Parts: sequence; C-alpha cells; structure tokens
Amino acid sequence: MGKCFSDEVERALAYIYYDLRSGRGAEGFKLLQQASDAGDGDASCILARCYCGNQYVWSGHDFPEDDDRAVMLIHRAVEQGSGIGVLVALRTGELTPSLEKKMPFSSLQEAFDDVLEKAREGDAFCQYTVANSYFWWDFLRIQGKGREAFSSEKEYKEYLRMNISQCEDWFWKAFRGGMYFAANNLNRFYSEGDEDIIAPRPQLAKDLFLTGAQMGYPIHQWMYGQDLEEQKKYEEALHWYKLGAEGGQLECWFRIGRAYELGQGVEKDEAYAARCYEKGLTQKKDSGSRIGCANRLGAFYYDGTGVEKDYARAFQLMKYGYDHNTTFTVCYLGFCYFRGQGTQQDYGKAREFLEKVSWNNKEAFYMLGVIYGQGLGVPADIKKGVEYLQKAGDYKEAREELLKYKKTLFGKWVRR
Amino acid sequence: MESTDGKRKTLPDRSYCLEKTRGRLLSLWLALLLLFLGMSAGVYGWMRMGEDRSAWDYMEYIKMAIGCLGALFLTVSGIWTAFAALRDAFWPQKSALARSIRSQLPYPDSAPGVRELFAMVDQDIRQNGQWFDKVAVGKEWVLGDMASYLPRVRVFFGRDEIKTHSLGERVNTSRIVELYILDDRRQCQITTLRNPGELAPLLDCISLRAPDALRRPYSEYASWCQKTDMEWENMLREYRVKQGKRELEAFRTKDAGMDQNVTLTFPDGSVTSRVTPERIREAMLQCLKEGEGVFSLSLGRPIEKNGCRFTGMECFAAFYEDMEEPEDQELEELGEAELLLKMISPGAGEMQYGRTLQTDVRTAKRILNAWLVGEVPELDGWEAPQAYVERRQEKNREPLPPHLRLMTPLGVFQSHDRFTMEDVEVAARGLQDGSYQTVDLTLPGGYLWMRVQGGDKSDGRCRIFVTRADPDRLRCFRNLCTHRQAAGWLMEFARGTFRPDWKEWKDYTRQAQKEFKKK
Repeated sequence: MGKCFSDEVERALAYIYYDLRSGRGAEGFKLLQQASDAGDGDASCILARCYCGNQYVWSGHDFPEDDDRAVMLIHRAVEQGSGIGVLVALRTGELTPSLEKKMPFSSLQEAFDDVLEKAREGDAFCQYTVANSYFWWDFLRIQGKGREAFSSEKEYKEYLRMNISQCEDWFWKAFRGGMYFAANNLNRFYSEGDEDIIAPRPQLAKDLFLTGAQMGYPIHQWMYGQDLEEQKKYEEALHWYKLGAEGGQLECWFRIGRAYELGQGVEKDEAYAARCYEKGLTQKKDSGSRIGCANRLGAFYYDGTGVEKDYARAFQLMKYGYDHNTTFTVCYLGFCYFRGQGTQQDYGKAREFLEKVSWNNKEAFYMLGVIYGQGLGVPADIKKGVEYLQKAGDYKEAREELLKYKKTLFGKWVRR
Repeated sequence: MESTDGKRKTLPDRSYCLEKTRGRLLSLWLALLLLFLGMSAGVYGWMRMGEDRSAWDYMEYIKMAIGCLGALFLTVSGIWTAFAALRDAFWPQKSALARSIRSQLPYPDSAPGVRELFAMVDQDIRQNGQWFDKVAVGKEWVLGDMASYLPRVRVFFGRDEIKTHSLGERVNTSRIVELYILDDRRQCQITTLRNPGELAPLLDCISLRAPDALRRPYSEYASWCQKTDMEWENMLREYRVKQGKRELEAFRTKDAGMDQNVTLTFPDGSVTSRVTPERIREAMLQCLKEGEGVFSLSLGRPIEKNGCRFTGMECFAAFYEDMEEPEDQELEELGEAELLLKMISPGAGEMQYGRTLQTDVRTAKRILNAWLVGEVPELDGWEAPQAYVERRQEKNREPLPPHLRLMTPLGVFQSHDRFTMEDVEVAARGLQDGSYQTVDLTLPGGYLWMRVQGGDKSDGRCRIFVTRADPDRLRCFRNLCTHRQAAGWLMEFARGTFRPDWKEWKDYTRQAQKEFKKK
C-alpha cells in the first residue's frame, strides 16, 4: 500500500506527473485503467483527468481525449468514495445534487479533510487539489458558507482573502513535489491577483517557468524557452528547447527547427532544421507547433531546402497546414496547382490560392497574369491579366508573357 | 494539359519561311516601277542625245548624263529586284532566307535541303513563336527578312530613325525601323519593320530569349562592324563567361533531373513525387505483405493521347496464398494485381472515367514503370471499371464505399465516408419503411453511383438513377420502380452484383452532361 493511495495509483502518479522523463506515461495509464476497473476511486479520478486533454495532463503522454469517458469516470470516482474524486468533480461542475448524495462521505468537508490530510502527508497531487479548492473558491461550497454568513462585506472579503491566499503555499508544495501544473495557476495567481481581494504580484511570477525548467519539467523548459526567445535570447532559448525536446516535449522541435533554419542562436543548418520539423510532425494531435512544422517542412520540400525537392510531400504538408487555418503556404499551394506539382494541375484552385496571397510576390502576380490573360479556369480578362503581369515587374517569365499583349491606339490591351 | 501559351497567330501547319520567300513576289511591283522609271530616264537621255548640242552649256550635258546613267542604274536595279523576287519565290533554296539559315548551321556546306531547313525554323516558330510586326521570335530562331539562330546571336541593334532629305525646296522625311543582328561569325541579319511601335517589344523579347547577347543602340552598329579580331574575341570570351555563370545558376536552382510530374501515394497514405521503379516496387510489396492494398500514381499534368486525358493509375495488389512469411520474390510471383487507368474522356464532358486490367504483379510493375515515364498502355484487354469494382468487393468482404448520403422525409441529412455493408442494409430497409426519402451511394473511384428517391404524392414509385461504365464512356440511366425493388437494386449495387435488364432503363447521359457542364 502506498503512502496516500494504492500502489498502482502512486506509481501511475509518478509516471504521469512526477517523473515525466521516465517515458512511462502509457504504463501509468494502464495501471489506472486496471485499478479503476478493480474499484479504486482515486484511480478513476486520475484516469478521468487523463482523458480530459492537455489542460489536465502533459501533451507528451499523448493520451486519448474522450470527454464522455472522463465524465463517466469522475462519476465513478465519486461513487467509489475517492476524496480527490469529489473535489475534482466539484471543480469540473460534475458534482450534481444526485451525485453528491451518492458519495460515501457525510459532507464535502469530510471529503476535503480526507484530501487535506494526504496533502499534509506530502502527496503532491492532493496538495494541488487542495490548492485548487482555495484558488477557485470551491471552499465556499465545501464549508457551506456564502455572503449571507457574514455580517459585513468587509468580513466576508477578509474570509475570502484568508482562504484564497492559502492556495499559494499549497501550489508551491505541489509544484516542488512534481505537479508542474501548479506553476500555471501560481503564475495566474501572481500575475492577476484575485478581484479586489488579492493584489497582483507579477514580479513573483517572473521566474516560475525558469524554476520549472530547472526542476526538469519539459513543458516549462519549452515555455521558458519561448520567454527567452521573445527577449531575443536565442542561444539560451535553444538550450532549454533542446532539454525540453529530450524530455519528450515534442512542441520544442518546431522551435529548434526554426532556430536552425533562421540561424538564431546557432549556425544555420537547414538539413538539421528539416529533421527537427520531421520530429515535430510526430505529434499525434494537431497543435500550433505541428502545423508550424508542416508548413515549414512543406516549404523546404518545395524549394529543396535542406531536403531533396519532393512536390507531392510538399503539397501534402502545406495542404494540412492550410486546412488547419494557416495562410503561410497559400502562395506555394497556388504554385502547386498552377504547375501541377504534387497535385493535379488546376488553374481554378491556383487562382483561389494565389488571390489569397496578401504580400507582393512576383511569381504569384505572374501566374495570376497568365490565368486572367489566357482565361485559364476563368473568363479571360486581358486588362486584369496585364495589370498582374506589370505588377510582377522584372520577373523574367512575366516580362515574356507581357510581350504577348499590346496596347491599341485607344489604350486597350489586346493579344498580339 | 492546358497550354499556358497565348493563341498562335497562325494555323499550326503553315510554313512561315515559305510564306516569307513567296511574299517576295510583291517586290515585282517595285521592280516594274524601277524598270518604268529606268525606261523613262532612258527615253529622256536618248532624246537629249538626238538634240543639237552646239548651243549647250555644261548643265545640259550633265542632265543628259544623269538621264543615261539613271536609266542604266534604274534598269539594272529593276532587273535585279525582279530576279531576286522570282528566285526567292520559285527557287527558295537559293533565297536570302535559306542562305541566312544555312550560314548559321555548324557546317553550312553540308546543310540539309531547303525543306528541312525551313521545317526546322517553322517548327520552332509554330511552338514558341511570338510575333512582332512581321518578325517572329521563337526559342531558337528569329525569323524576319532573314533568320537568326538565337544561340549564335551576340549583339543586336534596334534602328528607329527619321531621315530628312532636301530636294530643292521640297523636304522629304522617311522613318527607318530595322532590326540588326550580329552573330558569332560576324554575319549580320537585317530585317525591316513596318510598325515602329513593335521594335521595342521585339528587342525586349530577343533580350529575354538570348539573355547573354548584348543589346546596343544603332549608333554603335558601325563601330561593332569595325572591331578588330582581338576586340571581337574579347567580346566572345565575355559572352561565354556570362553564359557559363547563368547556366550554373540555372542548374543550381532547377530540380536535378527529376520531372516530378507523378505522385506516388503509398497504401499508408504517405506520398512522394520522387518516384522511381524501386519506390513502385516498395509500394507493391507493402500491399502484398499486408494481404492486399491500393497505391496510386497520379499525374500533375495529365497525358493527352487519342483525344483522352489520362490522369492517373491505381494499383490494387493482393496476395492470398496461405504461406508463412513469404519472401519478396514469392510475393511478386504469386501475387495478383489489378490496374485502374483513370482518364477524362471528351465524350463524357469532364467526367472521370477509367479502364481496368487484371494481371500478374510483374506485368503490373512493368506497366506502372512505363506509366512513370509517360507511356500510356495499349488498352487492348482492358475492361470497364464495373468489373474491377466487383472483383475488389468480392475479395474484400467488408468494403468501405466512399460515400453514403441519406435524407429523411423531413429533410434531415446525414453523410458518411466510413460505413459498412450493414449501413447500406439499414438504408435499404429505411427506403422500404419510409425512414429515408433519398439514398445516394457512391462507389470507389467516385464515378459509379446510385441514387434512390422515394415516391411522392404524384407518383408513389421510387425514382432511381445510376451510372454505368461502358468501354467508351460513362453513361447515366434512370428508372421508376417500387420501394422494394429499389432497396434490392441498392444492395446489389453495393455488393457489385447489379446487372439489371438495361433495356428497361432510360439513358439520360446527354442530359446529365449538359447539366454537368452548366455546373
């Protein structure tokens, strides 16, 4: 039997939260499943969080997201008598009156005390749960108190301040004990304060992610790296990105790749950048960094930068990026459709993409000039076509294409 | 592939060179004029010679001499012009144009006949020609009064001058618009233009197509002609350096030798356009090792042949032998393959269409490798794709057709890309019990589909629409039937066993094509 939970849950907590670098998240997930099926309410509760996505569990574990299953498990955790289950259900709004009746605790306070006891014994997950109860004002419902319980507003606010401020200590304990998520709430607590009850103290938030990074949390290494990058401390940022990537924070690969592509903080190495982007693409879920990797690598494959040219691969990657609401590659996609590179030639689609190009690109202007001038997939409009060709300036093909048209005495452009 | 070139000025089979030489016949008018003037001058001179010259002053002698010499000069010019016009028109091998082409070949003495010479220039002008007034610029040749081979062009000049001549009190002005081209053998080809406005774009075009040649103002022409051999050699050296640099840059930026018009989609969905026969084999083996699978080779720019546009080829490869861990060689020897050649037939509008061939793995690989280099297979023995779909469905008992769309009588719509035969059965039952008003089923490939629409108040029977792949084109049929019959046909269609008596069906292909084109 573990210190606070069953052996399975303790091990799972270590694999899933406290020791990310072990790379045993999947094992922890399996342990939780078995324990939950065997009736362990704490396992059901933590398993439910695993199904809730990256806000509740590290993205590097790549656990499946399933809201329905999470809800089912949290209900099961409450019914199975898990204190943390009750507090998590309360936090997530799942603790309905009927469910509250089904819990084996006589009151919410009893459930809270159970968790508090474990937190005092040093369990980081319980410390985090207790801290959340204070931070998110759940203590009001736990203690059964509201504004009416106090004679004055001042008294009520003092009560709130006393309780809310307790979260700080518990968050720190949880953070140092391995609950990296605690830093996120601490960051918010310090940066924003809490209404007019707790004043913000942003100076205390400054080094939170540095602390997390130094403690070895890959997610904080990634976040701290981004802070450094914003300050243009590229070399230092790259150091943390690399540590994060080694720890399994796949989002870091996009940043590392970009550093090598642009030569920020390191000597330019496009071939290595391409390999980094390939690694970033191994993320199974869509994310900003995965889409970024697809866009950049797509452009690499199109231009033959750092990799051999491969238009089909370029098109596939860039289309993925475009389908996920980015416009970074619209120009390239237009080129692909115009020339039939990696996809079937389609002047209509080429036009659609090229017209989305919001910056001055001579090649794009040339292609639009050809499309409109020759009426490819669109009714011919020589005037518009010539305008585009003229915009393309000294672009060789555009100059040559422009020679196909001449101006009449009346100023109208016609085909020669 | 749609051409990105503009409309050509002329029909494809015209011979521009012959037209140029025959056009010289127009010079006969000039020759006649010269002869007439020569005769007039001669008559004048003759008459003056017959006069009493005792009272003549020296001016009278000069006038007589001008008359006689003018007559001689004009007559000779007229005869020469007439001769040149007739020679160019009727003996083109001796024309100035033919001589200019010949003079630019590597070995002018062993040049081919005039027919070949002209064909060579004509072909370039036909394919790449851009016309400016009466001058055409191709990728290799500039065709004016004379022809210039672009790789030999070293310097070119545009002349646009207004000449003024005073004759007594009369002032005559004339505008001279000419193109001068100096080649690497220091030969000069001159062409006169009629439209001054066309000179600048003509020079621009030559600059673009002979990027290493020098473009100079006409005022420098004389000095270029008078260059010493040393100066000329220096210029040629500079040209070669410039050319070398440009070609090196072009080689660096271009994709090293790969056309990349073919996209290979592996059975796992990954793609590449760096396709080689090894990669095709890799894809084939992936299918065979998995038991069965599909990969495709689609074209970026379709191949056009016999009026059809071929867009891609799909290969379904399978290995059904009961063997434990077969070797690659065994997989290839005992495996089966079916190819689907995708095409767009002009007879069927822009509708996708295809032909299939059931064969062994080695033959399939050979056809695919040929397809990779742009060779369309001979279609003898290839079948309509219905059979292909059927066979694939027989082999794969749990097919996942690509689209099933359902609509209830209240207009609630649902669409599925992934579904099983059980879903089609539910849909068919739904048609009978009224749960669904419309069922639309599309089979793999996207062009074989069936739509069943339940009856309404005016006609209780179901309306059923279906496509059929015939050897020459895709055809559309429709019919009216009971709900029970429609459900039966839907199931048969999904299973690939749909073979009705087509005589009872109405062919509405033409109408469908019209509607398709409108869309």
